[in-house]
Amino acid sequence: MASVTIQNIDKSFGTVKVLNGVSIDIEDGEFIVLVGPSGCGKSTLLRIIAGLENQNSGSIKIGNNIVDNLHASLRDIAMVFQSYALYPHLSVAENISVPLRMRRLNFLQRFPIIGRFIPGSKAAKASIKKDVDEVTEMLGIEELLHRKPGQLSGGQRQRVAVGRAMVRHPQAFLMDEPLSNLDAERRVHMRAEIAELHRRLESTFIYVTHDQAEAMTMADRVAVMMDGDLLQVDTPRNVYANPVDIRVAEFIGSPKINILSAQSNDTGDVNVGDMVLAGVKSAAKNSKIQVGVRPEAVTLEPKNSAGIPCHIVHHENLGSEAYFHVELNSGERVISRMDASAIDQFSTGHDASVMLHSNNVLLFDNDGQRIVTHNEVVM
Amino acid sequence: MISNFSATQALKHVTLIIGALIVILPFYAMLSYSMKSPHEIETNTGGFFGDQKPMVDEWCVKANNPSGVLPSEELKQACTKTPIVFNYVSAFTKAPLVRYLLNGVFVTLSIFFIQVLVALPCAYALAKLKFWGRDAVFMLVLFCLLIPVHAIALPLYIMLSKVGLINSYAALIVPWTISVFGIFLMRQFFMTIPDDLIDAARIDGMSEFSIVWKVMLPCAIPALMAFAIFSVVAHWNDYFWPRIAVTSDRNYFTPPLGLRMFKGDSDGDVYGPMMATATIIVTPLIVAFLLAQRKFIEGITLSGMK
Ligand SMILES: Nc1ncnc2c1ncn2[C@@H]1O[C@H](COP(=O)(O)OP(=O)(O)OP(=O)(O)O)[C@@H](O)[C@H]1O
Ligand SMILES: [Mg+2]
Repeated sequence: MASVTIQNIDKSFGTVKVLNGVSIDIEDGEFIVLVGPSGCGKSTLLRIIAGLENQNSGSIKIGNNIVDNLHASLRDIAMVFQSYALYPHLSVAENISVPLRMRRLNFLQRFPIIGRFIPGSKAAKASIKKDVDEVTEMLGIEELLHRKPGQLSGGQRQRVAVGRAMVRHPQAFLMDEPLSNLDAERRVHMRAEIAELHRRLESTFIYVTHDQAEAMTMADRVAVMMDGDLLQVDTPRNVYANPVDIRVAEFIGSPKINILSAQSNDTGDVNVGDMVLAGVKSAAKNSKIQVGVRPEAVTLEPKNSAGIPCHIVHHENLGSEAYFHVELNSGERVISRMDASAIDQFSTGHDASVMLHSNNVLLFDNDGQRIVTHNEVVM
Repeated sequence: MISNFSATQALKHVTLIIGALIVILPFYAMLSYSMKSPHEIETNTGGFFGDQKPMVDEWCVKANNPSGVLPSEELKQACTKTPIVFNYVSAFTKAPLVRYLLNGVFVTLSIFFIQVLVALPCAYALAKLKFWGRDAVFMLVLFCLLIPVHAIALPLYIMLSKVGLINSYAALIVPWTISVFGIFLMRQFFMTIPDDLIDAARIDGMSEFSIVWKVMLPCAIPALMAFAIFSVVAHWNDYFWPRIAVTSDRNYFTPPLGLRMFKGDSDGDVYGPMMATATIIVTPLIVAFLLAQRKFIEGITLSGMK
């Protein structure tokens, strides 16, 4: 158990820059999720932390030690790979015991037959067996001990991979999309299981995923990466409600946040089309800006009421709620998320009005940076 | 009744049968000659098994009648055997075939063992490690694949004789210890093993050499089997190189060299014992192949030659 400090990591493959000065302070025992679209450099960052790849500059600290020059096996971290990377020729029990055998047995003791006659090997092997049993019991895979990885289901392999990581009580767990090979149902289940494992082990977890649902549900803090930049590190709640960058706002949340172009005047009032956002004052005055509104902060009103006139292009019924895709006169599309009962009133092909709840709007300048807003209470 | 006779199918089968016959025929002749008397071989009579009529073993007579005068009837009687016994007993007695077979086993297995010892780390480095000049080295490997052994036999012979290794096991083994074919085959197979597995092994604390022997080797058993068969067959059957490397000392003869013992004596060619020797030489390979058949085919298809 240790903190992990990532300082100013730069990494290029040839001329392609993959990481631009990424810094994160990860606290002891924290569950941090690195999330971002495919190819943004998450795996590369994780591999640098693990010592499988060398950074061009910057440094990694685990606990109080700078580990930049340490081999992966000496960093005292464990990694769970997307493909699980179990040794195909070894049984489950042998797979889990490998990290311990490599550490607790010496070269001669590891030899197939001779090893038995080397002093100390019996005690060491007994201690390994004890630890392996403890882990397999904890993960509920005792019946699988003698199977080969080829005879296991995806979920079982995943557990074995976690077991192999757990067995030596590492300082930190690194996981690279460990659930992406599972079917949707299993994934939701394992999500809870890993979060629970984290609580039980009280160890530091660094978890990579491109699935924002995983990030939001499991993380203590979410680190959003894009194109090699770390955009924001914050609690799931803040990343959702208070994104600092329009790219974060767009990446987190499903359905995606609505972005509308707007204009602020010299008093800071914001105009979306013909409508003034009531009670919102932009700090950037007299400029073209972008307004972000989450679908749940958009409601439809009957045609010709206050709000922006729109046409309902499509609606999706999810049972408990419904998504309405509407088109404004400006041609911009907006998604509204409402209670499913709204379908009685609004459906595809009809006209309506869109209301934006100004309490929940986010303003961004044209470069995508967040603009300070002053929300006034509107009566 | 529905007739499912098809002309194209029939044609295919006829072609295949003819092909099979052409391949099998020399083996048929070898096996048949190994059981016949010299007279039957010369006159081409006796069918597959020969008549197995007892015959007089001329070598036996000569050996027990040093004076050279007309041999007695008793001696002739004592030297009378059935042809099959004559052929196979001569194979083992005329030449120390057992020693040759053991030489063959020792040389072939040593070559294979050292080839694996060299090829696996090389293949691993070429497939999975990044280092400056890796592609150039791999190109060299491909280039070496193109060099026929016969082209370098003479320089090799000269080099070995300069260091005084001609007529030794080393002369038979050393030139073959680095198999570029093995390196190439294993490298292609290693390319298909996921990098994650190697990274996992590194994190688990294995050194690069442990990874080669404890992770890559077990994963590559099918490819290794394929290579084993190529290597063992090639060196067990090799006549060319042992003929060059072993010039005088018969103690280092390998089985194929044993065949020479029946060739061009003062007695002329003695095909019966010669073919018996040939049969004895190929038998271990055929048995090994039948035992390993499934693995062999698996290995070749898995390595896929892609
Ligand atoms: N060994 C390598 N050589 C060259 N380029 C690489 C290498 N590894 C990764 N890259 C490049 O670096 C970028 C980041 O890769 P990385 O694997 O970190 O992405 P990722 O965020 O993990 O994506 P995913 O979600 O698809 O796994 C990609 O554009 C990739 O092509
Ligand atoms: Mg990745």
